[in-house]
Amino acid sequence: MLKVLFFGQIRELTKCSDLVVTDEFKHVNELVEHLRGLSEKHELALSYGFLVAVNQEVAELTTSLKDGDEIAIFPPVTGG
Amino acid sequence: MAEIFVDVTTDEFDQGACYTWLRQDDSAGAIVIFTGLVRDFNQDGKIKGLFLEHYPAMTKNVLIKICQQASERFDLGKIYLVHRVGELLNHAEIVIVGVSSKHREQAFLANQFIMDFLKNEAPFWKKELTDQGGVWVKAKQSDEASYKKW
Repeated sequence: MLKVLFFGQIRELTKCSDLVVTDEFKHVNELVEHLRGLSEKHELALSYGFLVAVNQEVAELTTSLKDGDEIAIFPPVTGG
Repeated sequence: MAEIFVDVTTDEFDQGACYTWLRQDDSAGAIVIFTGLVRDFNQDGKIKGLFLEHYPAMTKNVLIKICQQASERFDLGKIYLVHRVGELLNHAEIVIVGVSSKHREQAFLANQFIMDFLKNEAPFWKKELTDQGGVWVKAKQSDEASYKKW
């Protein structure tokens, strides 16, 4: 089981802040492809540039995943 | 390692409290404090304010890591960093960064380093509030260029 969080414009476009994924994925890029296939809204939201964090640490598309991970997907940051 | 204070809050912050805390560094010869404010305009005209979203489980840890990096890179006594979230009206304070150091150059550099890293690494997202609705702010290339120069 993986917990997925969306923030910013991605949260707004998908109309979803969090979801649980029960399928198994070895790497972040496989999970992202799965998420893109959930709906047209998800595909659109993930067609722009985005960043990924796994367990609150910035990650790459090649980062490995394990059961229980929290994966956050968000646009480039704009704080300050 | 410098003493570090970091907070993320919806509340207004007190610049006086920041300065008073930094003044407790008896070895300090310089204190530099920066505050970032909500502008009342964007490239298309007037705005009403901002909504600042963040990733609560991650934000504070990222800010602490940025301060630790600044502490390793510069000769600092204390680092104070508070960032606000939620709805912020025009002219409101968004962020305060204060540092104390033996020397002013280190204090100026460290303060800029912290802001450049915060703008590129800390998980905050700004949405500008206008009469026509909300518009998500896009990351600026100039902020990325400032970050890469370090």
